[in-house]
Amino acid sequence: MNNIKLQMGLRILSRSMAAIVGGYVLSNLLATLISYLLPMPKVDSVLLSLQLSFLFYCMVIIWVFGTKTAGKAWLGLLIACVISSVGLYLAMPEGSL
Amino acid sequence: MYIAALWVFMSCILLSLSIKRHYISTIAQSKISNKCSTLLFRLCGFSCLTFSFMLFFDLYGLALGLVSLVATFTVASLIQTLLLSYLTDWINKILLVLVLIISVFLP
Amino acid sequence: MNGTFRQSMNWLHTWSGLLLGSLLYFIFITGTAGYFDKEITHWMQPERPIINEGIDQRSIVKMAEQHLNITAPNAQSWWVVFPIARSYSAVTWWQESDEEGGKWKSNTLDLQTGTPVITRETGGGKTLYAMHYVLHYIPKNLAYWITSLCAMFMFIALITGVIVHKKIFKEFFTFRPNKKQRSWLDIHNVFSVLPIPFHLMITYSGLVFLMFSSMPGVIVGSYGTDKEKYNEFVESVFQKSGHPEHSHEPANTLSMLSLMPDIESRWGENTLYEIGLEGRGTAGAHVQVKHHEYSGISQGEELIYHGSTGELLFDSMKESHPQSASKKLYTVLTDLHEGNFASVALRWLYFISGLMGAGMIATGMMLWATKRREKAQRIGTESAGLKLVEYSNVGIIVGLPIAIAAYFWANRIVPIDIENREVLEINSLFITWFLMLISPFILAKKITIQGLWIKQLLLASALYLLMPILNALTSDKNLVSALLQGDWVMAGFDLTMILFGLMFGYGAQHLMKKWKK
Repeated sequence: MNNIKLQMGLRILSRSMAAIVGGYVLSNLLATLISYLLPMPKVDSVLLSLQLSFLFYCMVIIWVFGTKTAGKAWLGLLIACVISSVGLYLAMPEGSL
Repeated sequence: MYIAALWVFMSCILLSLSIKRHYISTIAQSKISNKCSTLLFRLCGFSCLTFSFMLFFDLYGLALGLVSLVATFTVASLIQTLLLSYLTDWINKILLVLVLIISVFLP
Repeated sequence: MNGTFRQSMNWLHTWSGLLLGSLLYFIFITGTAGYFDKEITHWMQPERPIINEGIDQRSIVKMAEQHLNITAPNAQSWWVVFPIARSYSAVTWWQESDEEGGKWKSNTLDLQTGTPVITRETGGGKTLYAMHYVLHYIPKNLAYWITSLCAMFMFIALITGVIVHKKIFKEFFTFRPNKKQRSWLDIHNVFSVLPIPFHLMITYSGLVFLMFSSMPGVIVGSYGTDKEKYNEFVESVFQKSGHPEHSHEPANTLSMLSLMPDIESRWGENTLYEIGLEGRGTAGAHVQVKHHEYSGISQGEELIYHGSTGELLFDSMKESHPQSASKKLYTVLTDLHEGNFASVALRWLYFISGLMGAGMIATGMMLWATKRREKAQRIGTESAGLKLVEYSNVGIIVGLPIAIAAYFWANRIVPIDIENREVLEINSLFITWFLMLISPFILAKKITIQGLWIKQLLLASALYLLMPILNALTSDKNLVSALLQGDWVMAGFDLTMILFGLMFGYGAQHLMKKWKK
């Protein structure tokens, strides 16, 4: 009995970490990417992306808890993070940061 | 502003009556509520809501008017919910009184 | 997750609501109090004189500047707040020079004599409401993170709540009392669904308020990790138009009184909310004037004059620098959250909506406990944490209002001349809350949980009902004189306390009848 409870607990922990921590990383990446893609002055696009970031975070968390397994959630997060990072690398002008 | 609030309250009553469960508890004891009455109440309810928004818009402009409408609807719907639970018999009479008050102030 | 999407969302809704529910309840209650922060402060400083109509603003400026000349001749800024709109006194503010420490200080003026009134030091309504994002006893930045996390949990709870609520329209306006679990679910729905626009707005705007701290990645992504660059970004977001550059060059500064004729020619008489002189004695001195009325939901009109020449530098009615869409979104969200524009009626609606939000959280916690208690009674075993939640619910839900009452009682009982009395007032709030929270656990052998609900409700009722009497006994103000003299704020506070006392009393009575104690 205890083994099953432990397994379930770990699964829940894994998914929660994916949602909270992984989701935070992904939403920051997505929002930063958006801030580069928006056709506005830097101040405004960063300000707008900041405000939109919570929508992304919310959608990611809901998606993470909607997947069939925690593993799938982590995988999906990883892929999304990689894609946004690549996008960010391409979108960033040379020599900034 | 208070007239607009009364319109919002009236719309809450009408909209609640368009819901089968509340229609049964207030107006008809029979389980049959036809689609016609549902549609009618819903239409009247939303019309009153739209009219009250026009009143708020006239008084306060778009932003403040929307805020006032939403805030008033929140409390009016709370009152209507409590009326439906505790003072169901009063609702028909209140509706009648509201119609009378509003028709006095309409011109 | 296991099961369907809806079931996963149900799980997510339950836990995102329950885990931080107590903290969210605290945030909602203290934040809601904030819609009447100035009114609360007015009650907590009963020394403030009642303002009679008819003293024009020019005289007030003259009095204020005379007073400031004596009290703060070296200050770098002088401000005068008029007794208009939600300011219930004439107050002078000044910022000490940098050499003297640069602190902000204020004095309430007695308009009959032009001299300061000694008001008791108190956190007032401002500190009470500020706790909803600064919390207490912890560093501000940590509090911002915790509050942001709570707001995110709240937002998830709202969205998942809508997703799982199958009959959200059919069950609109529905509350079926006396049906145990069903009733708790109904009332939870009433408090959640009816004010949904408010809840979504307040939660999302709350997140936005703290976003500069909570989502630094986005800023770093464009501005780098340099603290200077971060400040540069924040400054460019919040830069105010029309303000001249800082300067340390000495220069002669005009009096604010000398500008009043020009101000009144533009705005009419007695229309100012406040007037302030910044950068006194320097070349960067300027006078800021704010109109008392708001334009829609945004800040009211503003004028800025050059501090030495008196030339008009900025007129918000004539400036046509439109805000960018991003900035506009930010100001709309933050303005809606704070509701500074709200008239009395709208302010009450904000207040009720906020209380409904607190009710949403409280009924959610009660629903969780009730559901699992009924299940435990059926199958014979309790789920983990059930006792903990049942025992802590009463201390959280009723304990916090008791603690806030203790804050008000401390305001009147702690002597005026004690040092750091504001700290004592706030500590009374938290000590009381702590006692209410642990009492079910400590008294577990002696009193049942049901008994504790009744006792705490009775205590809350007594504390609130007796507050007008406390007011009368500990100050020269009381409910009757306030009503007679037209001090609606003082009277309103006392009457609201009576209302809360009656509600808690009714709750206690209802439970006593129900459980036949």
